[in-house]
Amino acid sequence: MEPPRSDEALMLAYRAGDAGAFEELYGRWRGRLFRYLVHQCRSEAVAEELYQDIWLKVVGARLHYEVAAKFSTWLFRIAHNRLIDHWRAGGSRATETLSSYDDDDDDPPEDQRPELAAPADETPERLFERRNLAERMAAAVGRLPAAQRETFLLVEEGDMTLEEIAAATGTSRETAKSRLRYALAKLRAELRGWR
Amino acid sequence: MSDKENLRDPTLSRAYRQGATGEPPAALDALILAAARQETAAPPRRAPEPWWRRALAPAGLLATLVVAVSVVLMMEQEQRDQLPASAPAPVPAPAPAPAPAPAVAPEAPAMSDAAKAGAPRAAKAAAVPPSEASLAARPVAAMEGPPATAPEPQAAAPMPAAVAPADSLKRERQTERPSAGGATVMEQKIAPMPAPAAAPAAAARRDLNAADGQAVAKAPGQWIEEIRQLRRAGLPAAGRLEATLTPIATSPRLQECKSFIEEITMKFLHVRFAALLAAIAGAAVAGPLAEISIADRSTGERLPTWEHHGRTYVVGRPGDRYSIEVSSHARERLLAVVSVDGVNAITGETAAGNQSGYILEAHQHAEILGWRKSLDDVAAFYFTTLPDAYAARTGRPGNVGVIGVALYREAVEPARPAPSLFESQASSAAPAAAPAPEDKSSASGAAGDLAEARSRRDERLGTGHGERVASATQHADFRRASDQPVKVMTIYYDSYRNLVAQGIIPVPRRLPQPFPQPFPGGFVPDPA
Repeated sequence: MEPPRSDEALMLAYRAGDAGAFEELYGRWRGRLFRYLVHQCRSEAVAEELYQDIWLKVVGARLHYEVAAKFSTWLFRIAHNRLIDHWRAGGSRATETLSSYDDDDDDPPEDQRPELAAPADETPERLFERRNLAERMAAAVGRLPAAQRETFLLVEEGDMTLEEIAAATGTSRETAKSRLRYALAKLRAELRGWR
Repeated sequence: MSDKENLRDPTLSRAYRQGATGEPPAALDALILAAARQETAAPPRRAPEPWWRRALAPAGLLATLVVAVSVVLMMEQEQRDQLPASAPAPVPAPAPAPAPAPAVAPEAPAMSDAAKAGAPRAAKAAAVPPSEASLAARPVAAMEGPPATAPEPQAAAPMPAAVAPADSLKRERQTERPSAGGATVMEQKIAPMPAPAAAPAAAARRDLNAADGQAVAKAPGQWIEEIRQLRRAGLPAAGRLEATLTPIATSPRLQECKSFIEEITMKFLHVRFAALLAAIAGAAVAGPLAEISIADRSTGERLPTWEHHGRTYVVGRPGDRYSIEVSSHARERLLAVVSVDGVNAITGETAAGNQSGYILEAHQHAEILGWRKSLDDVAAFYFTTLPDAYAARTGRPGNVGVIGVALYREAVEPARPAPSLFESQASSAAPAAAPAPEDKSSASGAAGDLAEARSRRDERLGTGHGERVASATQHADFRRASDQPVKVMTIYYDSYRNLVAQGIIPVPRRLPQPFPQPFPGGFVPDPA
């Protein structure tokens, strides 16, 4: 079986006119980029608009694409810059706080709880815990300072190294490392009761 | 934390993954994929050109220059070859006139002026275009005056002023006749004149032929009288043309000047040609000292350039971050003083050549990302509207829209320590506030300038003061070899629409589609 082509190879194939290569590449990164934007903008509508702009920029830069870095680094650098444009155009920086979080709203209705015995990992309590944990996690990520949140998201969604994060965000490796360390420490503190 | 796995906290990662389920809407996917397919289906817009395509224009220009210079040289050489041949100097001996003038004379009175001019040619060749008739007067005029033994530069010996009769003049010409065809032309042209008219005409011509002799010293009244006589005699146009051209062509002083001018022209052409060859050879061997380009930092691509009237332009889009790429081709260090919108990109001062710059090592490629804020970071360059441009916000909107890099070579011999690379920053407590004193000192003027600039060119692009970007550098010493830069490279930028409006970017022609569509419109566009 033929090994999967790398992202860079797919982009080069697209540059050569292979539209199918772009579809494969797009499928690999669509969810990750979208989630990165949603977490950064906190608005799905805005995220969709930026998401479209970013991909169209990738499409528009097809003929000039050169493998100077990993495709993900290039993609998230475009996203990073587009986000800054968005914040600048709105006259504000990324807000650093979220609205208050009410976990009572997330209690599942009693009549929707499964009645049949489920695997230990799928018990209503566990499901509830997991969903609640995910929501808490999302909220905690949202409460991070923008730069720390971005670094955390680039690790989780972009699967990037510190060097790649530094290249994508225009910072130094040490700065990226410091931001990530602070981000992880804050998230651990937020979710201490769930660990 | 260099290893990728160590960057993650497994528990946090798992918790994040459980909630990370967001996906873009299917409609958005379809839109993007359709755009991607359309991009591959459409013809390439501006594919990166290979080196030989980029070299076509300079090569064509070069070939044109070489051909032009060669043609000029050949013409000059040909002219030199022709002049001795047409001169009557090598005439061996006067030969008897082969054909007496009366053979032609009876037909002459019926001829018009134009026919008279064309007649000599008609005698030699059956079909001659009418336009050549007037051209025939020029070699004739050059032939008339010179004595038979004089070489070309001395071909202007004055004729005896006292020779009046037309027939004697004719005899003289008949003796010249075997020397060249031009003499024959001359004779036939003069011969048809009626006898009463020929005398004053010949007298006037002799007077004019002796322009640098004593005949020039006539009183104005005499000149007027002779002109009247000529008019009464009905001097043909060809005759007037001869009379005009002859003294000019045969004046020894002017001939000398002409030779001198030719010599100077030849020398100039030789020097220019040699310089051109040297430049070509130099360019082929050494190439340019350095090159600059503008890169879009979002995509990493270099912005395409347009050349117009010797200037280089790029298109900027508001909001796009850019960087200035400087590539040195020198074998030694260079100092690059970078100016953006007329502002020094390191110190924030109004740019001047003697300010701080970046040191480029031999063959180094440097990317300048923004306004220098410290040794570790810069404020990103980005295209923006004029009011938001850093130069305009600091009261200096006059040079917005231009990027310049001045290069200096380094002095070879060791010398006293040069000023620090960032001496302006060192002398200023806050680098970002460096231009502030200037702003205060010229607050009213700057405000006026800004208002004027805003009213006049609000739509122009400038360079903004963006977010901080890491860009490490350090102090170094550099002593310039000269006060003047060895090279200044300039790139102008503006929006696409403005460049099109200025005629810098040609307006793309809309070609008809091979298969016209009845409903070419798509979805509802956004309001403007």
